[in-house]
Amino acid sequence: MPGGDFHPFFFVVIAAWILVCGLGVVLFRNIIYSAVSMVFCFLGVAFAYALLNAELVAIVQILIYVGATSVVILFAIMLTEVQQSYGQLFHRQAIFAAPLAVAAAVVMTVMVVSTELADVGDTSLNLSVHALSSLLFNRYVFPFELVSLVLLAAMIGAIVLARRQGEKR
Amino acid sequence: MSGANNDVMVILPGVVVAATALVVFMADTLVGGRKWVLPWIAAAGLIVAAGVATAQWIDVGAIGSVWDFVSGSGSGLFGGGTAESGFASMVALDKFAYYCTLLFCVIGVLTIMLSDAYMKKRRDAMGEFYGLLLLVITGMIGMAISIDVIALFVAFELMSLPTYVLAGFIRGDERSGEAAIKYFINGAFSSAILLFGLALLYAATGQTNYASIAAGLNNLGADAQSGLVIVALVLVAVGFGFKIAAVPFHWWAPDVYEGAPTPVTAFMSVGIKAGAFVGFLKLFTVAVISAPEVWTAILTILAVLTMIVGNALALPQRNLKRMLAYSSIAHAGYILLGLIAVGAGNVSVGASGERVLDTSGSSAVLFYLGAYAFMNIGAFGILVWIRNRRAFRYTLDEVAGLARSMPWTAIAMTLFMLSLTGIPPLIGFWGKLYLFTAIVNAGMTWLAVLAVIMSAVSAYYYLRVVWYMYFREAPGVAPAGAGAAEAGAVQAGAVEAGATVAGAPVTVGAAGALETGAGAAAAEATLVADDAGPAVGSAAAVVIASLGVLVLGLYPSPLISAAQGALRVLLGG
Repeated sequence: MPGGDFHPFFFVVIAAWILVCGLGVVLFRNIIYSAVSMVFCFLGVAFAYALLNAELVAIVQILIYVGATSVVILFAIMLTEVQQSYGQLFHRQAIFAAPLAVAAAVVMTVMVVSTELADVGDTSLNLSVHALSSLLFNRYVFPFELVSLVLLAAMIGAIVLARRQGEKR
Repeated sequence: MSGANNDVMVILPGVVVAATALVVFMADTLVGGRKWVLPWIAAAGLIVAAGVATAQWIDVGAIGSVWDFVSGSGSGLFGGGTAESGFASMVALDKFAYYCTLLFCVIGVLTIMLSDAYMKKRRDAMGEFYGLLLLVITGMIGMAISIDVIALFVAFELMSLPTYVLAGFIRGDERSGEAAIKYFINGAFSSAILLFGLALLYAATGQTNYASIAAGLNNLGADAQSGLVIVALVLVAVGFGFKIAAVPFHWWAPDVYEGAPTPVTAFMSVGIKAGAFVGFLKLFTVAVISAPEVWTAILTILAVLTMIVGNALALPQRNLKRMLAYSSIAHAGYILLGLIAVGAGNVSVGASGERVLDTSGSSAVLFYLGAYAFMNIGAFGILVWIRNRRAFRYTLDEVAGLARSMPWTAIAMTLFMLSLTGIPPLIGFWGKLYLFTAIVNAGMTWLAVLAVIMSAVSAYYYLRVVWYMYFREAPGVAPAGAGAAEAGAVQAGAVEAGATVAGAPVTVGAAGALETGAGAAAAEATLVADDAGPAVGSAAAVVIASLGVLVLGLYPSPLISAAQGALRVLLGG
């Protein structure tokens, strides 16, 4: 196994967990249940990272997604007082969309599985914080700085959209 | 220069634009009531960035060491590309990037001028509007200079994210809100799909750098046709297809284009499209060069559908904004022809064994993006201008008799409509000519025939506007005052909060028109839907755009040679 040294059984368990939680996000009628199953979905992804020996990424995943993002989403749900449950889970389009989605998923799975992937070699994903930061600030400094602009745009955009109409500073 | 070259000179134009955005955000809080300086700051930043890009562009040709790389005595972009690329092969300094930077800066300046009419009524939001616009342009420049899929994706996001906000800038207006939400959800989907495709491309080759991906695909040999690569390329094409509104990923476009503020619509239809196409072009011509068959097949399907459906749906539209939205879809189809020509064109083997593609397709794309910028911004600019001068809900009936009431506006609009149709000697003709020639040279004549037929179809809805302006009377000159006043009231009440003043001046104008008998001409002078007076900037944008359409149409060789020169570097030959 590249990256981590684990029995495939563990991966199957975690993949199933992620899938079940992901379905829960879509299928629960109560939006709070959806949000909570998304938290568990994030947690499953963190476990997958951990399996691959990427402890740092796993921890960051828990801190940011399981911690911060989920809390913000729950806050947003509670603050906006959306209705507790949807009357109708699926739109009429589901009749056409569902077979298409399943077909696309099958085609993609078959095509990806039928391809022999290039060997990634023995490189371990286990990066120290030091190595990661030196990567971020050397090799990836350009996208890193671009991301800061993306975040700035997101913050200002959120303020613009959230400010009440005609409100003066 | 070897290894990690973090020389900021490599990304200087982009840095200037980003810094200007920050200055605008800061100045917004400092200038107090003097908000009018903000557009000037923004435009000045773009002009400086364009100047820097031009200076560097000239340098690229002049400096020996750089020229060695450019002229292919190095291995061009297909080799490691360490000499000329910067930031650990994340970005490349080449003529392609400079051409695109210049184009984006021109589009940005025109948009800033165009938004004059619109922002006058929203002075308190000026800082955010211009700052976000500059950030979008930074993202577009990022798309043009990226040679690594990670940088490409982040630039793609930087280009997209502020645009969602700009589309929803008329807050309290349902259509604008709908536009923002629709664009956001579709955009989020397309970003995710694009990222999935890029990830699979990485899985297939183990590389993120364009040149390394190309090498990786080359190493795969026959496996480059494998399922994984096909799925990856389809997903990437879908991701970009959403952004350029190619059929069948176009559903969001008409509603978003109609709901967004008109200057933003103009910018989206030209700027975002150019940014996405440029990123598309660079990724495909450099990275996926080793699998042209797959890519050509995907793009041919997209182009055929886009040209047919875009033009067919534009036919029945009576709302000019929606008509231009559908026509913009159709134009994306024409531009796709250039990309197909790259893949289907003759592949020769260069001196150092790398594959060199026929550049006529990609230079046609670059030329068309420039031509399209002028004519489409101009067409939307006319809508902004009419709206600035009188009550206007963008319907075809309202432009009836425009030739009499606003003769110069009608002439300019005719110019843009003819150019969009592709009538010589306007710039749109040359754009189409080069695209169609490229596709014929690539041996796909049937596509060119289809495109010509579709252009003929498009003449119907473009020239219908001209017909209405020149040969249809304004709906009843006598009751026009009352009708227009009603329209003004509806507009003031429902469409935009800022236009509440329309009622009073309109009735006065109607009375005056009836008395003098001068008809619509007098009505035009008094029918002012705006409290802020004529938007000089918007008018100037229209004038510049019409000059561009006309002058570059009569004398297109500078733009052509620039577009051709830009490609020499991209293709390393």
